[in-house]
Amino acid sequence: MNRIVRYAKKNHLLFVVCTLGPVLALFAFIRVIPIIRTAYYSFTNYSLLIPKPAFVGVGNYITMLRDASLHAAFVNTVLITLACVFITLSLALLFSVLLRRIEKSSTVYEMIFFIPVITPWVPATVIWRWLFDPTFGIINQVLGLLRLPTQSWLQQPDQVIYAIVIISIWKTLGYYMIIYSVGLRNIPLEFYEAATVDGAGHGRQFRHITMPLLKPIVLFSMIMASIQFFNTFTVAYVISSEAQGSPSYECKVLVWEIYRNGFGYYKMGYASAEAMVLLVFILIVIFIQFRLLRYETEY
Amino acid sequence: MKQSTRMKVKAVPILISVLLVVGSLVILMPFVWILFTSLKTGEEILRVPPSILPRIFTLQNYVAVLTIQQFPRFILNSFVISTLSMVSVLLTSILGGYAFAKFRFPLKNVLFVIILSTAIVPFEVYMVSVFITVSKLKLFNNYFGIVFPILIMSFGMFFIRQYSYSIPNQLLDAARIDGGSELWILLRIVIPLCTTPLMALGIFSFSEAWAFFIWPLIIVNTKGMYTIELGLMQFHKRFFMDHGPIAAGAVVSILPMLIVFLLLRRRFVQGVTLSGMKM
Repeated sequence: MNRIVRYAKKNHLLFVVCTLGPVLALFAFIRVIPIIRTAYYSFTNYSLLIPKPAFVGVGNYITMLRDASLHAAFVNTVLITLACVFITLSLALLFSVLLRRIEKSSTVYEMIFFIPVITPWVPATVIWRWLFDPTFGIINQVLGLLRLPTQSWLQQPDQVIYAIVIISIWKTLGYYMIIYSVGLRNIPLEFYEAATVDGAGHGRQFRHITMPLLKPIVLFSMIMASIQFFNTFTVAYVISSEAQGSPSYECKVLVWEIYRNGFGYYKMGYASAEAMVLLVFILIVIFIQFRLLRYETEY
Repeated sequence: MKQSTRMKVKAVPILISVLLVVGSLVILMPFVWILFTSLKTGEEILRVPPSILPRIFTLQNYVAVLTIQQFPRFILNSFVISTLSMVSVLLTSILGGYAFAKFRFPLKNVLFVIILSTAIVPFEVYMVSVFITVSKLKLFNNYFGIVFPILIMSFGMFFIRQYSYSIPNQLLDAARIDGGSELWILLRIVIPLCTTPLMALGIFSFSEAWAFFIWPLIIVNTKGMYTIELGLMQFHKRFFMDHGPIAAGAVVSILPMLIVFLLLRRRFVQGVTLSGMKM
């Protein structure tokens, strides 16, 4: 007994319990328990409309296999994620490499590219909705000036997804650009100087110095971006909403299906099962990319 | 030494500048356009072909948004929610982060791994479950209900923990020998030494809460409790043919974040990028 008291005193356990205790309780209540309960709900037909939810086993998961709306959402989400991750990260890499070259005014550009990042998704989408307007929008004006074919954009069901991808790239580019810039700044200039002395051109320097040393950051960005775009919701929701009396077409995405089933039809159990699918896919993506990271950094 | 001296061709730096300028223009174009649209009269907005600069500058759209449409109330709501979230995140992060960094206690590593692993689970995954909790607590249309899921941030605790490690143990022990209580040490030594990360974290959590959309969309259904994001969304949905006030509303909802960003640019970028780096 005495030993325990002494151990507690030596490590200031009373203080730790008083400070960390409430924090951990909050964590359990807001994060850990809801996550576990979501997994549990996914095996029930929980609904706000049913007084007593019943255990349905893998019923929800079987229903999902036949849910055409979910399949469409899944395909769209994967396409958006692939397109956005690939294009955003490539552009971010391009611009951060360019910024590394000009040095002196790079902060100004970093700042400009960062403004969309701090703009919330709703105003960003509201603005872009207008830019895409076939008559009043500026995008078709520019396309016209460049003698390119104008598009009907949001009035064409299968073009909504392009709009979502364009907005998402615009919105997130600055974030990944800054992450890459930090990574590039950590590569010593001596490496490049040595390479120049040895007669390596810019292309070879990029391939043999920049890329290998930047690889951990590239892979990290891929994980972050995949999670982010897999959760696409606000942009799809706002862009698909009826506005100004113009017809609007939906681009179904995974989170929207969760939202619709959970809060539109109050099928909480089914929505939880969809949420578990979302989680599993995110975990798979992270797992794959961590494996790549471990493999690639061994050199 | 300078990069430019290594360039054999003079055209390359020009090409770089052109690319960056074009990129910047594309990035900025929507903002410029919405700003000028918000200053146009109703009929000028609908003119074909559209012009960028307004012929007549007018503030009538802002007047409409700020008087008729309850926007001041939405701004207030967003401000209250973001502030509550920020205060709570800062408090829980410093308490948890410091305890995890500087004390020994049973199950420490297990608890920390649990907290860290919840950081990769997006809110969208467990929002249904949080909704059920909040509905049982009857917190609909209530500040506490809106702020409920963003009272804590796994990353915040991790971030402060990393920073607290750098505080020398000798400093803390010296304070203890001088008779300082643990609380005194936390308030007088640890928190002042952590102001830099706390500021970055504060700005980050405030801006996250400001932009939070899906949760208010789910649990708020009275207009008086709308956040600015929700207000703009509903406004965008219902206002027929009157584009001017919507443009003004969009500008108003971007402006607070933009001002904070321009004033505290370095801390802002630090907070937002570190959030990713230290996931």
